[in-house]
Amino acid sequence: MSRDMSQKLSLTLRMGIVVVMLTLVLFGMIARKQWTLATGTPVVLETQPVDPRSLFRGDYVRLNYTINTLDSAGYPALSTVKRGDTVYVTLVPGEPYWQPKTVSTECPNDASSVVLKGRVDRVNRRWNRETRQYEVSHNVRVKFGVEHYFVPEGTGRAIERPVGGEKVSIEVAVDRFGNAGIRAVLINGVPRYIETLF
Amino acid sequence: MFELLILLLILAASFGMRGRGFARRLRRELPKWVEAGLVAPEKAPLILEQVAAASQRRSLASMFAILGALLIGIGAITFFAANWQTMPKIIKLLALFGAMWAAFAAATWSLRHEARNWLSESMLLLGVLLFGANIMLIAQIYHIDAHYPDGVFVWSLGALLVAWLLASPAVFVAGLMLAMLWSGMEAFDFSRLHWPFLVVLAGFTFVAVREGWSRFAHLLMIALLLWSISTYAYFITEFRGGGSVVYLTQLYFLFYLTLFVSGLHLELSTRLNEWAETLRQYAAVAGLVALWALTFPDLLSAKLFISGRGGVRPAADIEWITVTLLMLAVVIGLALWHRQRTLSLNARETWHVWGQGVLGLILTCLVVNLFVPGNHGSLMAIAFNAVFFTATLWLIYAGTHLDSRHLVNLGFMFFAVGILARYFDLFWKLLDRSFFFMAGGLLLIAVAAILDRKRRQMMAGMKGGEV
Repeated sequence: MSRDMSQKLSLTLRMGIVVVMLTLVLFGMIARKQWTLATGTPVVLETQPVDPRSLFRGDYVRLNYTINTLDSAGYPALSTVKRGDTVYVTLVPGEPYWQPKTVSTECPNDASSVVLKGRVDRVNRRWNRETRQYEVSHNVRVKFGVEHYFVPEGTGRAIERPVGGEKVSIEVAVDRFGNAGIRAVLINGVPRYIETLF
Repeated sequence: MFELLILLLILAASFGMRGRGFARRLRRELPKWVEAGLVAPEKAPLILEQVAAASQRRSLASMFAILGALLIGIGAITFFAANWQTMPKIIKLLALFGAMWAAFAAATWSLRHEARNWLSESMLLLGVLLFGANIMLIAQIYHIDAHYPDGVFVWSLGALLVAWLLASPAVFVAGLMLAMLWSGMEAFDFSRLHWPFLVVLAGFTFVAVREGWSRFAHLLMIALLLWSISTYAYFITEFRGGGSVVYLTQLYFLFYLTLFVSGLHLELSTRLNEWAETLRQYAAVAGLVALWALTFPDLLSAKLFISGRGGVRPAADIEWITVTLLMLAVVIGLALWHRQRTLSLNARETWHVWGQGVLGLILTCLVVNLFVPGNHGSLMAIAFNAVFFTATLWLIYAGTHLDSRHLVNLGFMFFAVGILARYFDLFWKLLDRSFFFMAGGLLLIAVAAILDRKRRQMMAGMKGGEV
């Protein structure tokens, strides 16, 4: 839009465009997450929470899932990944937690499987003098976008350190594109916090 | 900490932008109007006093309002960050959206009423701050755990949209700061080569040029140079070959040189020439830093970067040669085009010719260095030192002709930095250093004598012409 054109638009119209665009972005954020929760397959994952604080968003429980750390020896696709790469983890039901079956760098075209999309967060690499290239040497850390659960200020420790040997696990919903969202926090398999739209 | 950084920078920019542009322009233009008979000579000082007083009043009110908007914005973020459970989600959402809409409504109202214009900037800024707060707090309410720099990116785009459609300088500065924060997060938290920042920076540059905000050229150039430093850090860790640091530094020098020559082109443009000086200044500083780095013998031999005894930098491989030659082609192409443009305008002066000579020397050194391995690093260091000091002298020369005190100071400053570096350089023996300084001193005095003789000849010629 040229300067002349934008000046011809009335103030109301320009302000209207601003308000509508910014509001749509915010609604889009909510709609995207709700779509995943509404249409996704429920999956229960094992976790060990840690309690830090976000710069902008207050207190949260950092959820450290068992599937966050994947051994490159068991999943050959991980031997060439680097930080920031997208990986797809196919999950299979287990008792009581779902377990990773395969890992690939391409999205598997299998509608019957539950596939979780993740981003490589950390890779241990070593320099191979012969090939003059870096190689993955050990565990690969992958994040799936469900590692943070925001809680009221000062209440994070209730989830971080449950009393009486209680076991915390998380129920996430995984949609057909591999996106995940936290649906409920379970204590000893029973939902304690359930996520709703309003 | 990030909030504090944004706050300080917005404040700094706010102080710089409040209403002084018009008063300054008026002070420059008014004598011409008086001369043309448009304004009575005795009225000119009164007009200036009136504008200065009004501008100061508006400026103070605006600044306090902007401070207020910032405090409200940050207060809103921390209020909702407490994740107060007694408030249902729907009420929280209504409060978040309502506050943002109200800020923009207040901005519309103040823009419509000229007497309330002092409020408009702060309300637009508050609207954008609340947009950012809403992104963060919706992520909190719905446990959206995305790649976190994306939130800052979307926030910055929102600010760009507001700055573009509503011509708000305060929002422009805030948006650019956010874009820099976003790029910093991607580069340093995620070790990425962050090209997308250039697209966003182009967007901000477009808005600044369109609105004629040439005072923000400093901010835009700082953003570009910081980005270039982050990419340099990325490449250094990515390419670990012995010569990489040398060839990479050469490429960065060429990049800054490209910016400098682009600044010379902008000078010739009637519409964009007010952007030229800032571009030239920052590019000159960055280019001189890169060229100065290349004057160190230890860097040129790359001994510091190669493990094992006696290891030296190998000559450049075909990839480095190709990329360097491509960048060279761009620089030479731009320089030749500038030569053609200045020839056709009959505006080409001696400092241009000398500049092309210095440019030729530097580029020759860069090309030769590609093919000379590190065991001849000291020879190349001598060559690079020679061209570095020649370049600083040329800057003083060009600065004098362009009436640019900045370029002159820059030339002197880098001359001193170069001398200090060589003085403390342990690569050369004391005796060699002594000869280097004495020879350099004699050479400079000889150059000064030649320049003075030329000046006398020119003055004599002018007197003769008058007769």
